Formats: sequence, C-alpha cells, structure tokens
Amino acid sequence: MKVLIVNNMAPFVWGGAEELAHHLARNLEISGHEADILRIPFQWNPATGIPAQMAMVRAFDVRAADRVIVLKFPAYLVDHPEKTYWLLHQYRQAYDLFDAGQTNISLDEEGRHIRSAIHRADDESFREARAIFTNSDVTRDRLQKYNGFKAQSLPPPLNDPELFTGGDVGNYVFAGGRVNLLKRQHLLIEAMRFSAHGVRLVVAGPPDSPEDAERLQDLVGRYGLEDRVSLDLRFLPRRTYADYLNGSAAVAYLPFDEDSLGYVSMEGATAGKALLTTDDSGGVLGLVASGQTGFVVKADPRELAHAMNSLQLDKELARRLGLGAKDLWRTMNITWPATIRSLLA
Amino acid sequence: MKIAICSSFVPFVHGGYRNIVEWLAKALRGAGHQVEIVYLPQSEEADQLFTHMAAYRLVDLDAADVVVCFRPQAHLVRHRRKVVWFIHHIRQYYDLWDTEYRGLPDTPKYRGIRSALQELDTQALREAHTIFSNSAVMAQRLMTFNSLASEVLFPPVDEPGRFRHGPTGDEIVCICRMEHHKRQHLLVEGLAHTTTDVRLRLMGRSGSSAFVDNLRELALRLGVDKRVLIDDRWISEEEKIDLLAGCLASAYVPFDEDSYGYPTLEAAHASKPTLTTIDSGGVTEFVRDGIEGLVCAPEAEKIGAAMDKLFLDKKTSLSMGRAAHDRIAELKISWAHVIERLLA
Amino acid sequence: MKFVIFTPGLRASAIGRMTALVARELVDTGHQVIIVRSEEAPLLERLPHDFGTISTDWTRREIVEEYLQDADGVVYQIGDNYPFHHGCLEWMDAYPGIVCLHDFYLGHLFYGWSQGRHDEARGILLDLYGDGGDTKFFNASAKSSFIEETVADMPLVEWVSRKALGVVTHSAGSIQKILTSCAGPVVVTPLAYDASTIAGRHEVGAPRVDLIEVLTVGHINPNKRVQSVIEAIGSSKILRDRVLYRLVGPVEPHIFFELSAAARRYGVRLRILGEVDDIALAHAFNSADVVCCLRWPSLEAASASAIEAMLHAKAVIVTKTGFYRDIPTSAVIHVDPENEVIELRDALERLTAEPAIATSMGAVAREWAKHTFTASSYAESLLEIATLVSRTGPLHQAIQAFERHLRGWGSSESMYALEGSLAALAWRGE
Repeated sequence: MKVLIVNNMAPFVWGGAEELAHHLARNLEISGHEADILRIPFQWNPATGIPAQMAMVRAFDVRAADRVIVLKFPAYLVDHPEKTYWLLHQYRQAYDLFDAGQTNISLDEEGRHIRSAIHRADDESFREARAIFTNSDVTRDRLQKYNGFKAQSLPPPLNDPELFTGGDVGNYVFAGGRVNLLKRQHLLIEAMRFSAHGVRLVVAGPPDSPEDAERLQDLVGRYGLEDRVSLDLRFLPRRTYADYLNGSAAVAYLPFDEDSLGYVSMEGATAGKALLTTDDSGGVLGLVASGQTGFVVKADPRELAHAMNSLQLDKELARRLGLGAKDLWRTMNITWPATIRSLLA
Repeated sequence: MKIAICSSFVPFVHGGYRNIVEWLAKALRGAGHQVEIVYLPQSEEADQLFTHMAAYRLVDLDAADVVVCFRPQAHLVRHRRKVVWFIHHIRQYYDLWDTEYRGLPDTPKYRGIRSALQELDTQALREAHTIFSNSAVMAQRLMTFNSLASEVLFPPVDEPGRFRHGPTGDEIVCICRMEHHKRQHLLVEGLAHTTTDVRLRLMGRSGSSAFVDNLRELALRLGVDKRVLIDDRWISEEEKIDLLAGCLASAYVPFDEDSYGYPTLEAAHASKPTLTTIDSGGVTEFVRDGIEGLVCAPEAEKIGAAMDKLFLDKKTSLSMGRAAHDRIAELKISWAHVIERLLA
Repeated sequence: MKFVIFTPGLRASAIGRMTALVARELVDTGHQVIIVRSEEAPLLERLPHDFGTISTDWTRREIVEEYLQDADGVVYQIGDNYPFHHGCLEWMDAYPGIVCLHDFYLGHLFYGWSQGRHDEARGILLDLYGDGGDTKFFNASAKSSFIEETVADMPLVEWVSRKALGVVTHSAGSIQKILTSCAGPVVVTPLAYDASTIAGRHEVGAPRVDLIEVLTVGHINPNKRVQSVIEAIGSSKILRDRVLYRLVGPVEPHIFFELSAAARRYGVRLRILGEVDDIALAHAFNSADVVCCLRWPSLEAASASAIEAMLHAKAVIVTKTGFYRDIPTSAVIHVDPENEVIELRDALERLTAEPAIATSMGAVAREWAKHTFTASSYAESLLEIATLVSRTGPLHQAIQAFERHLRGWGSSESMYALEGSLAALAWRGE
C-alpha cells in the first residue's frame, strides 16, 4: 500500500513530530508498504494568516497515495478519502490554551472568526476521517471535550527498544531527556538536599538553552552536591544514553502536565527500571502506579527525596517495581508492528 | 545562513529529479549552512494547475534567509530573496505545445490556460532575486517564452571525487534510464554497422519492459546480441564508478535533452569521452565533436562509424577523455561555484 | 468557439429574445451554441423563442453536464426575475462562467432563491452587507417599498458578480459594484436588438396634428413614473386638451385603480391596455407620437422598450440616469429626476407645439439605435470576453476554491489575509 504521512513543517526546526514521522515511514517500509512524507510549512503568527494556510493545505493534491496518515494541524486537513489521524496536535491556541488565556488569537470579532474557522474545519476533517488515533490520552480527551469526537489513544512506540536491555539495580537515580524548566530536573536537585547520604543523581541530556544548564549547575554548587549529583548536559549518543539508563537504580521523569507517556518513562519501563514521577506529570501517570511500577509523589523536594531514598536504599524494592513497570509496559503492547497494524486497519 | 530549498515532488516517485535538491542540500550543509528541504506536491492537471499555483503562493518560508526554487510550481513561492534555479517549465504548455508531445487539445480552453500559465510564470520569475538555468537550452527557453535573462549554472554531480579513471577497455557503456526518448535503440542499430569488435553495454532501470524487450529483439535480429549486454536494473553508485573507470567511452544519445545530462558529466569525471548525437540538445553544450567525444548524426551508420573510431584510435579516445575532464573546470561545474553564485 | 448559454427561453422573456438573436449571429459566424433554458419547470412548457440551434433545459442534469464539459465558454443570462433565471443559479456554482447582467438590481432574484435556504442566504447578506444586512433585507422584502429600501445599499449584483468569471453588461452607469465584486473582466456592450422587424414611423405616414398619443410600455411599477407623466399632462391646459396617454403592459389591480383615480383627478385622458401580444405592442408603438421611458430608481442595465421606441423612430423622453444617460441628446429628451414633472411638462409641450421636432428626433434615434444595438457587436463582445476569461478563468476558479473553503468555515473576516496573500495572482482584464 502507498502510505503518505502528512505533517507540518516549521522551517529549520526538527522536533519530536518530525522524528515520529520519520520512524513511522521507516516502519511502514519494514512492514512492506511504500511510504513517503509530505511536510507542509505552517506559520501561525500572525493568527490572521491561519485560515488561508488551512485552505492551502486543502488545495494540495495527494491522490497518489492509497492512504494518508496525518499528524498535526493544519496539515491534517489535507483532502483525501482514506485519511487516518494519528493526532499529535490540534491548534491548542484555539482550544485549551485559548481558554487558559495563552493564545495568539485576538479576542475581538476577527479572532472569533478565526477560531470558528479552525473549529469548523477541524470538525469537518475529523468527520471525513477513516479513523482517529491520538498519541496520548490527553490529546484524546481534549478532542472529545472540544470537538466531540471519540478517538483511540495509540502512544508512539520506542524507536530503538533493543538498546534498553536493563541490568542490575545501580546506585543512582537517572533523569534523562531534554533539560528545561518544564521538565523540572531542578526539582530533583533540590530534593537531593534532603536525600540520604548514599543517594546519587545523574542528570543527562541536551539543555534547551544555556540558562537551562546554568540553573542546574548553580543549584548543585549552591547546595554543595558536586559529589552526589553528576550533570552531563549535552546531546548524548543513543548508546551513551542507554548505558546511563540501563545502569541506574530508577528513572525519574517529572515533566509538568505532559501529553504523552513520555519516551524517558517508556525507555525506563522497557529496561525494567522503577519509575519516579509527580502527580502533576499528566500522561506519564499512565505508566507509573505508585507502589507497583514506581512512585508518584507531590512535586515537592522533600517528598521526592523520600522516594529517592526508598528506591536506592532498598534495592529489592527497586527491582520489584522495575519488573512491575516492565510487565505493565509489555501488556500495553506498544510496538511498531502493532501500531502500524492499528493505523492501517 | 538559513537556506530553504523548495521544489515539487510526486509522492512515492524517487527518480533523479530529487537528486539535484538532495545534492545541493548536502553541499550547502557541507559549506556550513542550515538547510531545509521543502517538497510540495505537484500537479500538472488542467483543473488543478492554478489551485496548486495559488497554494504555493501561500507557503510561508519567511524563516529562511534565502529560498532556492527548482521544479514548477516552486518558483511561485514568495520570498524577499528568492533564487530560482530553473530546470524546466511545465513543458506541454511551452516548448512541447507545437509538437506531438503536447498531449492536450488545441482548444480555446487550453490556449487560455497556456497563456495564463505563461503570464503567471513570468510574473513569479520576475520577482526572483536572481534566475539561473541549468543549461543554455533552458536559458534560451526562458528568453523565448518569458523574455527573461538567466545565468547558466550547470548542476554538478554528487561528490564528484568518487569517480576514477582506469585503463581504456573495449566497451562503450550507456548508463541511464532505459526509455524511448533516451534512444538506446539507436546504439544497438549503430553497433550493427560497426566493423570492429567494439562492445556495447546498456544499463539502467526502465519504466517500460516492452521497450527493453524490443531492444533485445532488435539486437537479436541485427545479429549483435553477442556484443551488446542489456541489463535493465538499478545500478549502484559503486558499480557505476567501476564500469566508467574501465570503459572505452560513454554513449548518451537522448532526444533533445534539456541539459548535458548526468551520464555525460559522470563519464567526464572518469576522464572518458562521450558519444552523442547532434539532436541531443544540452549534451552538445558539453561535448564538442572531436574534443570531448564524438557528435554525429542520429543515424545508425554514423553511430556505428563513431563507435569504430573510438575503438580503433584508443589514443585519441584517451585524450578526448582527458579533454572531457578539463571541460568540467572550464564550464565551472562544481558545487563551490554553484554555492558562490546562488548566494551571490 | 463552443458556447453553452443559459437563458430564459419562453417568449415572454425579452432577455430570451435578445439571446436568440445573439445565438443566431454566433452560429452564422461559425461558432457552436447550445441553449440551456433556465426558467422554472412549469414555464418550460411554454413555447420558446427560435434560437436556431440545439437547446435543452437546466433540469436535464446529465445532458447539460455533458455539454458543459465540452464548452469553451459558459454564459448565464441574468435578470431580476427568479422564475425565469432559476436554472442559472442552479448551475453557476459548479460551472462558473460569464454573466450577462441585464439588471443592476437583483433583490427579487435573490429573494426567490433564498426561499428554503434561509441560513445560506443570511450568510451571504451578512458577508456582503455586514451586521444587520440580513434583517434589513428580509424586513424590506415584505413591504411595497422593497426596491426603494434596498436598491442603493443592497442591490445584490455583488452576489452574482462574485460568482462570475466575467461580466457583460449594457451600460456603464452603475458598474462600480460589479467591478469591485468580479475578479474577472467586465465589459459594457449595447444590448442587441432586431431592428429589421420594426418599421420606422416615416413609413407609416405623417404625424397627426389633432391628438398627440403618449405611450409608456412595460410592467407598470411605480419606478416607471406613470404618476409623474399624469401630473405633467394634468398641469398644462394644452396637454390636457391634446394628449391621449396609453399604458401597455401588465399592471396590478391596485396600481390600475390608483392611476385611474389620478387621471380623473387631473383631467387626463388615460387608456390602460394591460398585457398585449407582440402584434398589438408593435401597433401601440406605431401609433404613438411620444414614448415616455422613465425610470426612477433605474434598475435595468438597458431598457428594451426605450430601444424599441427609438427603432420605431419615436420621440422618446427618458430619465437622465443609468443606461439612458448614455443615449445622445440629439436622439432623446432627458429629464432630471429631481425636477421631473416640470421638465416632462416642458418637453411634452414643446413636442406638441412643434411636431417636426419629434419627427427629426425620431429619425436620429432610429439611426443611432439601429447601429448601436446590433447582434453582431454583442456577439463580438461575447467572443472577446470569452477569450479573456479562458485566460483569467482558471486562476480565478482556483482563487474561488480557496474562498469557498474559507466561507464554508465562516471565516469571512480572515479573507483579508487571504486577499493579501493572493494579491500577486489577482488579475483584472482590461
């Protein structure tokens, strides 16, 4: 089957969605299909330009494909009779972020028209879809709430699960992934002030900005945690990253209100590591059941310290929770072959 | 610099038309630029043509410092610094209109479309900061149909350093798609007129198995099947490099090609001469008769005689190969030159 | 060229008569024409004009579709009469084409079309005329002052012009709204009229000196200014004594009574003949000395009755507005609508006093009309705009496709952004 993946493009920006489209194409080909990717440039500022770009998307002829899989607004408006959504993003500034007052759409008459155009085009397009999948429960619930469409949540699988073989319970808590304020690695460092003496923390990953790196370095210096906290703030080769994770006692991942299960937590579960998160981490909670696959605590340094103590000082507990995480992950059956089957069903 | 390369594509078709885009991207990245490739769908159908053109007008590539545009309708994109490297028109409304290849009815409706298309193309091209064409033939067409001057900027091949020169063999190779307009049949017919032991090898993928069958049948009928090897498959780059290194010469005899064609250039990088015909279009911009190879009439006897000549006078063939190699520098066919001109 | 022309076919339609003339001219000069009758189903039973070519009607979907696929030019004849032009509106969106616009006011057409599709109609009114436009229009539509209340601000010509790939109209007076609504070319060309069927007055004998006959022809609406003519005659003893005023054309009972009462009050000899056949109409023109062809407000792109009166070599009095303004002053007498009754009275008195003026003016009018309102120049204009549209149309349709999406999403305000983006593609014919 000829499957065209249709995604947005923010020129010169390569992020998670681009990565996902790339791996989807690769895995479609592994499953014996022909795959290609169409990336349609989208410029959302100023918001007055959005409707015209929506119409632009509708104008492109993609009939060469037997199926299209669409990911983001407005690329997902593309006109095709056999269209399946794997919805990553609606235009949130016209939905929940609008309600939260975080929007680039004006509140006047013109803004009202723009929002209504987005809502109507979305509804029209969701209605004509073959099937709607979302990347997370959060995206699914948002779609249900704002547009009244039911969808099935289909989290993106790991692209290199073979790297996460696991290993013995190590002697540090590992916090991987992008480093920024929303991912809250700083909370973990603050927690280290209150943790038991033998507890160690490794933070490794690319900081979004120099300030994000400095923030962590300052905290470590201020609290004199140099001997127990190690920072490896850079873009890591996958192998290095996997080594860190496989050798840890537990994986900590505390993003604020994340949409998805989170690659970091999925990789942790694949490796059979206990997971540590906070009760406001959104989608990540789908993988972390406190006392079964890890710990869910308040976003508070003392509570986090307590959990880190337990995970590192009681290796048997860490192992048991890690196995629990691995089992839960396995039952979820989030793999590329299963995902492709669902998307093309 | 942030450079967006914009071209059109046909999803699932990965032919040579994507090469120039990918290679330029690679060369630009190598020169330290940030590159984004923007491929958008193409449509030449009458009822979609202008909708697509309008859609291209709405593409916002403001984030780029420079946009380099290739295939139609990419040149419709709006940008403060739009550089067009023009490789062809939508030909049935241009140079093919007055030929049997038009494929459209000559009615008021299509005449209207043709004139609207030419007018819009001209308008969009006029917006460009600079216009380059990939051959003198294209530059001429831009002048004829759009009254626009352009600078000829010959497209190099990817990593030309990969090609090497080896001892002169007995075989003339033709490595390109096997299609009717590439006229491999002329070469088979020419071979039947040779009097020497010169051999021919035709290699490349084909969209038409009938054409390949016809070639085989022709070879058999003309009694040259033992001296010609017809291999219709995808040829890896390594294999191509080896074949070119050890051949006698390369043959490339398409009908009225827009540019000199990659086969010509690849042979030159391997210091091998090219055999071509006077009606091959852009190829003769590179190959001059008796200098970088042989240029003869598209007739079997003439081609046969040229093949014999290449075979009998290997010394001259060798020096023509060297001349072909020198011609690359003479025509400034290099990525460094391309980048310098595109960003000038 | 292959034309498909949508037009009312029934003989009661003057537009149909003109189209038949133009169609025959096109066929005679080597073009192909297919006529698609546009009137509502019951009217399709009526006898049609002789178009001299193949014809079908708008309800025969498959056949019409087949003709359209093959056409080089699609033409819609549009006037302010929904039952007559119904079929044009049914096809125009799917197959946009050239609109021949016969009226500068399409309130009745729009109102007829809006029945049963209220929401869509409201959307269009809001889009064209802003907030409250819908309410204003529909409130006015229930009143006898419908035209007066809507003609200036909401004539609805924008509605049809926006769908059109090009517009042909018949006078330059009110084309500003068309120019701003139609993205394609707009041309003005005189209405075609068949002069050969009309014999000028000089062939029927000398003017009478006793009783002067004044004639008004058409659907007797307030905008035909019959009341003013009665007042003008009534205000002059000479005119009261010597003028017989005749009205030919359909008239509603209440207007009949109003006019009759006014005539009695002013002491004016008035004969209301009602609707008559073509022969009786020709006879009425023949026996008239002066034809009053007044309009206020003026709604038509051109007036068939004024042209006919001129071809009959009559002295014609017209309102100084719209189409009539373009007629040379040597051929007709213009009256200012602001000073209507007085100027009318003066004109009628002059013509009564010096019949020779009427005769010479009629001769000038006939010559001018004969050479102006020809089928051949109309056909040439159609060919010219069709050629232009074959160039501008494809792009125009592409832009319309974008606009349709945006309207479908209800984002009319954001159109500005789109217009900006597509500005470089906008093209207007010369």
